[in-house]
Amino acid sequence: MAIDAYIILSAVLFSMGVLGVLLKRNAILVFMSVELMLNASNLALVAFARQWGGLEGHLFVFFVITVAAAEVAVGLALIVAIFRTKQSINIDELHQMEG
Amino acid sequence: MIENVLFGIVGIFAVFAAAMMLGSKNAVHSALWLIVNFICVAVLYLILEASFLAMVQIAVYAGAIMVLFLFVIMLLGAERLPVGESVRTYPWVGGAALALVLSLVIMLSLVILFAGQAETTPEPVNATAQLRLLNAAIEGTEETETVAMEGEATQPVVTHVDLYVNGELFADDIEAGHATDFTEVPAGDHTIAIHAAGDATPLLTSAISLAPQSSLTVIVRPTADHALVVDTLNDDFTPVQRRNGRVTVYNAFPGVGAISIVRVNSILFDDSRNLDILVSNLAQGDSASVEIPEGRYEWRVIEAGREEEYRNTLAEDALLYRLPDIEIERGVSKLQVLAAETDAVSGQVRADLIDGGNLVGDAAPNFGTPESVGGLLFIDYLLPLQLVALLLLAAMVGVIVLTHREDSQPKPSRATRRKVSRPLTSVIAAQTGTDVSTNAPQLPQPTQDPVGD
Repeated sequence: MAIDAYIILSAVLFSMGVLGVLLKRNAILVFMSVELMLNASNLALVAFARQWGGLEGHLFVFFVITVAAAEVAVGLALIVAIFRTKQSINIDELHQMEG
Repeated sequence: MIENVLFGIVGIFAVFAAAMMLGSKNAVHSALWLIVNFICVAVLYLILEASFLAMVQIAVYAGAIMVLFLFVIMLLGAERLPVGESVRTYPWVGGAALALVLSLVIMLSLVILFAGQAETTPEPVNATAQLRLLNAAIEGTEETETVAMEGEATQPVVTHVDLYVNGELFADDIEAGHATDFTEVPAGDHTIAIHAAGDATPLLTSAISLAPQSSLTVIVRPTADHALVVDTLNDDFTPVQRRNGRVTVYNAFPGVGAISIVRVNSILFDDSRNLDILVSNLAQGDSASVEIPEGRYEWRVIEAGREEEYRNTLAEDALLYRLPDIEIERGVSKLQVLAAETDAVSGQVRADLIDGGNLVGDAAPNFGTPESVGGLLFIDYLLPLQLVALLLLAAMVGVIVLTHREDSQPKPSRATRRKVSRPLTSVIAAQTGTDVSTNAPQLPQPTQDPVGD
């Protein structure tokens, strides 16, 4: 089977992730949308690896998953720290850094 | 076909789960729908033959990471954000940016797809082919020994050969019954020459033509009158059906003519129900390719044309040789060359199978398995793996630093600065108006005799 369908599915999932990042106001949901985007890109990588018969794509996905795990740990720690000071994780209320 | 159906169902469900994740008001529901989406993607990985990544996806993503998310959601009690007006100045910016990004991504993917289709299938970067030598000369006879068989004239028997490709030494001193590994050679036309080992004059020469990405086995086999003949065999790498293995049988056995091979499925019940005709009427120098289920079998070499008879009556005079214990592995193409071997004791010539080894083509049957990914990970990409491990360590330290609360313990400096100017009882007495110092409870006085002395 050609990978066209996989690439289009990957693009759709990625776009839904972008939608979540732009529209959601809960910081945790924004984070989850980022995970969705990472997954969509992983799907494209695996599809391309299948197409060209190379295992390097799989390795890249493996590293992406590992880095995503690290990123989630740090990000959730940041959210917890922000919640402690602001008592909220609504990203609309986190605008101290506006110019 | 079933792949496409499965892809359709799982793909639609993945999109549905993502939409539900975005649509849910409750953050816990969003996290659970995201898990469903991750599992769908894991199934897609399985369809794409990435079994290792499917495992990692379930264990790391759907397992560890999402548990972390759910834990933090529950810890902060952030299932629902209080409804209220957005404080954003331009609320339409998000929607506009979204429309832009969405159309950009989809257009980009379409452009990539159609650009890929417009190109013709890319030529292999290095047009190479694989070549190897398999020596099926009669095994067990000493080199230059003269052997008289069936009244033929005696002549030296060559058992060790060299192979020259375009005048260059390719394989040196290959013993009868042995094969070399595949070696990459440029594709195209070549001249091959077979020499007796160490001999400068070629015994045989032949011209071969190698297609790019093909694999060719050069087989040296004896004829009935002990001369050598060179033959070539193109190896078949097309995928084998699941649970089957492919065996290519090449008949290099001199003196018998055509043979048939039956496969015995059961060692215990030696009757016609358990005999399958594998190859029939295989002339000398011919090859046949069959796919059979994995397992261990006994093969029997039968006179050509009598295999049905043998199958029904087990006529012993039709049976030429038994070849016990032949292993067929799943998904593997294997070359078996039926060659002759001289028994060291009796001098009788008997049949022997030369195991040409497993053929591993471009699309290896273990594509995407933990074995293959692990090999690549721990051999070729060890440094990136170490760096990622370091990154995880740094992330761990970072999490500790971020969530460590300095003010959770009382500061020791404030405790030492406070001075007690009055006894505590007088403070209490001043605040309550009663004298607490008079009938204060006393600790019992220690008795004079020490305990246990």
